[in-house]
Amino acid sequence: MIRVPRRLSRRGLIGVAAFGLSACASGIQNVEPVDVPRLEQAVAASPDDTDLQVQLGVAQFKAGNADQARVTLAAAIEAGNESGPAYLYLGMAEEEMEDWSAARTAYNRYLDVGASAAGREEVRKRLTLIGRNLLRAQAQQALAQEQEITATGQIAPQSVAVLPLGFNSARDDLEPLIYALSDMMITDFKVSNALTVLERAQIQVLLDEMALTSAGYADAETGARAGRLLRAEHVFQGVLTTLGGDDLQTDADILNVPSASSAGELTAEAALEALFDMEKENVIRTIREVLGVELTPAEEQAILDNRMSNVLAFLAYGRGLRQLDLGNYAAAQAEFETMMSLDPGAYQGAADAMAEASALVDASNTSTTGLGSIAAGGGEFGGFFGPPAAPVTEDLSSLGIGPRSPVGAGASSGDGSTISGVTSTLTGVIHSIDPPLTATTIDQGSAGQSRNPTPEQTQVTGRDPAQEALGQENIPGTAQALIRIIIRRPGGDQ
Amino acid sequence: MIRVVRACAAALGLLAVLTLPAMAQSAMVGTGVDYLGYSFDEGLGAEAAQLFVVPVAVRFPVGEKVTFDLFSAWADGRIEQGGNTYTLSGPVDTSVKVSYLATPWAQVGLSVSIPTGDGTHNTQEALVASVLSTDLLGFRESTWGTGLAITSSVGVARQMGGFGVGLAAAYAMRGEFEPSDGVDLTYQPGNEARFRFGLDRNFDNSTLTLGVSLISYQEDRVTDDVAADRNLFQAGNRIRFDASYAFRAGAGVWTLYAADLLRENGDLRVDIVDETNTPVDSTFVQTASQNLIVGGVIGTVGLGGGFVFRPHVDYKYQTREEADGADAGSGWIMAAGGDIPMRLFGADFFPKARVYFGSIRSLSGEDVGLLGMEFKGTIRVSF
Repeated sequence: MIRVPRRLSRRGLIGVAAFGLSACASGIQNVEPVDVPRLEQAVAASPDDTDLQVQLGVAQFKAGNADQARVTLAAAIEAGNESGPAYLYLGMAEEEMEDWSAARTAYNRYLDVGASAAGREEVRKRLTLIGRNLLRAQAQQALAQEQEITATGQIAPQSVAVLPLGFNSARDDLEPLIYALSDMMITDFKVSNALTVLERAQIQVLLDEMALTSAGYADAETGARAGRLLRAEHVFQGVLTTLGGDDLQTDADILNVPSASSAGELTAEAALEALFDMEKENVIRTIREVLGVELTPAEEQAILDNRMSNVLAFLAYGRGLRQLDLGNYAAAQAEFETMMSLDPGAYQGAADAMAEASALVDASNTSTTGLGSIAAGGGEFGGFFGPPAAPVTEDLSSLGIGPRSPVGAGASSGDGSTISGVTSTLTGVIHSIDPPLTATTIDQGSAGQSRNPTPEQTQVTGRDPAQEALGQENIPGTAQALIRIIIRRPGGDQ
Repeated sequence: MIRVVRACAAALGLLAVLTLPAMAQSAMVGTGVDYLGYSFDEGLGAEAAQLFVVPVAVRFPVGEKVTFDLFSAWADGRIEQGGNTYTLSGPVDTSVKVSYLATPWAQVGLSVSIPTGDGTHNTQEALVASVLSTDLLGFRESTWGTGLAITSSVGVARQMGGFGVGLAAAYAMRGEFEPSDGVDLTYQPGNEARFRFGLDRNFDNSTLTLGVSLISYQEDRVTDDVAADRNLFQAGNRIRFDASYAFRAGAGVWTLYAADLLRENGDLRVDIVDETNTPVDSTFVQTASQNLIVGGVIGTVGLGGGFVFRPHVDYKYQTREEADGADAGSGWIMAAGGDIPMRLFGADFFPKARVYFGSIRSLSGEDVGLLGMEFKGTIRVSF
């Protein structure tokens, strides 16, 4: 039993007050749009406090002003603030402004300094999505600067770009092979450390931006143009043809981009079930015969082992890749799941694509606001204590008070939000006689300023019937009992 | 039967909590600790009383018009009397309320008080309950359970001239419960009807609200070894007048409020029985009338860095008058303190402390001093 001391010492009261004031220790707190005016004043008063600048940037972003937020946050970082919230919200602001490169830089920095594991995980997924957006932006930039790029003629030595094969067949069900084959070939070319192999996504995005059709990939001039834009030394391009039944043929041309001439041509035939053998033959012969690069026995074996055991799985993989390129991430993920069910041991490239699709699905389903909430929920913001959200008291107009507010307008609903018109009056009268019991616990932020005194303040709590009937709710410690008057009959038991 | 209902109710409450995430966005959950304790000078009987409550409150909107509120708590009440400490603890009744804003000017509500708390007390627990139910002391829980109750409410409001005008009514149907452990007695509180008329108006930079409420009760009934379902107690009507005035002072908002809660005397029926416990007649004993006046102020004082201190000072003055003119239980309490709202790991945190002092009149007519402390720490999380 805790006894309240009869005399509260001055030292004790000072201790309580000190405890309360120690709550003012600063940190980067999560803030809301309503905090913007307060933070603007605070930043103006303390221009060297970069934590305040970061909070202002966060509040500006939440208020929908991404452009202003990135200026504020970049300035805070420039001034030395290396906090997770600064980089996270700068990344989000840059993302909103579609500056993918800047967003990627900020997010990558956040991965180093962010405190929220959930936030970092979400940012990793987001970087995948941003990577795709960045590739598209780079492709658009390359096309815009095509003349300059062509004039400079810069290429990466021993670099190879594998274009999707053209498809020459009435068998539409086999068309996904061209995407799967190009992906597998890229994986195989990468086995040799002597080559620099461009990523499939990078190539595909450029081709999509060039609005090339699959029929145009085999065109030498188109391939050369793509090669120049990609700064690749060689471009592998060709056509996949069905020969009747399930027989396939590939006709490939390895283009030397600087000379704009063919470095070699390859033709291979195989039945559908021997598809991977045909692909391996193309890759190994290209490396050795056309590019003049030696393969060690181990490298050659790695290439030969890199295959699927199931053609149907390979087709599902090709469909998934195409859906990925089209931005249909959920459909891509579904195709990859089909692939995995048909061939659980699918090769490494397939596993990477599966992970990419999963990340893209998650990232595309999460807004920047959602990302902020995830990071906040994971403890990105903090310090031990921080100031409250502004609705607590700061803005009188949010309480329906002030010349701008008509009667009943904008009064506090009790939860910090605002409600309009007569609804505030309505809420006040209803809560006076039928209050939700949650009010005392939840409405801390504005209970003191609501239109009507709270039941707690004015002592209108529920009736305590049994105590009242017995008259026991008046004086502590004078419990009484139910009265019963017994009248004995004259001469009863005596 | 009561246990079955209680178990079902608890399961319903738990189910509601578990299904919250799927049902709502921007829901709010509040919990914390709430302590209020008093020490009394000699003369009252009790030497100290305290209540420790851990409330759990959940609010989740469904769409823009429907809001669910769920509240329950675990409470521990203790009193010290004659050197002994008596305890009453456990979960309290659970309240579930759904509010529907039919139009911007009309709202209906339905709330159910589910008997998850144990309202059946032994002698020692009843002693604790009686102390905690002292109106003037303002404990937020005193009974732990009063049976099932269903309350429906409706309110309308509109603007008239420069005023917001609101009317509301509520009706509460009360279920029976067994207040005494070891005594075969079932208590059926009377149903309640409540009415409210409210006004509000802005004056430049401030807002004034006025209101009056009336609460009326049907008779409480009991079933015991004397007779089944007989009238026991007619609670007196309550009338509450209240007013508040909110205005800006500097950077903060201040609110002055006052209320007067009048309670008419009640009539307790006392049986006259013969030696075989058979009622032969009855008479009535009038319980005290009561008037409780509350006045207070809540404000905001900037502390810098976005922090504010919200002082909260109030004064309660209560008069009671028995039929014979005795005024035991009258008294006053002054409370002062405040809170400093803050963010704590992304949640809203409201630490509050207040000091209480005052006096209460004993049966012998002596004013007995009291001193109290209140500590609250409430955390609110939004989803």
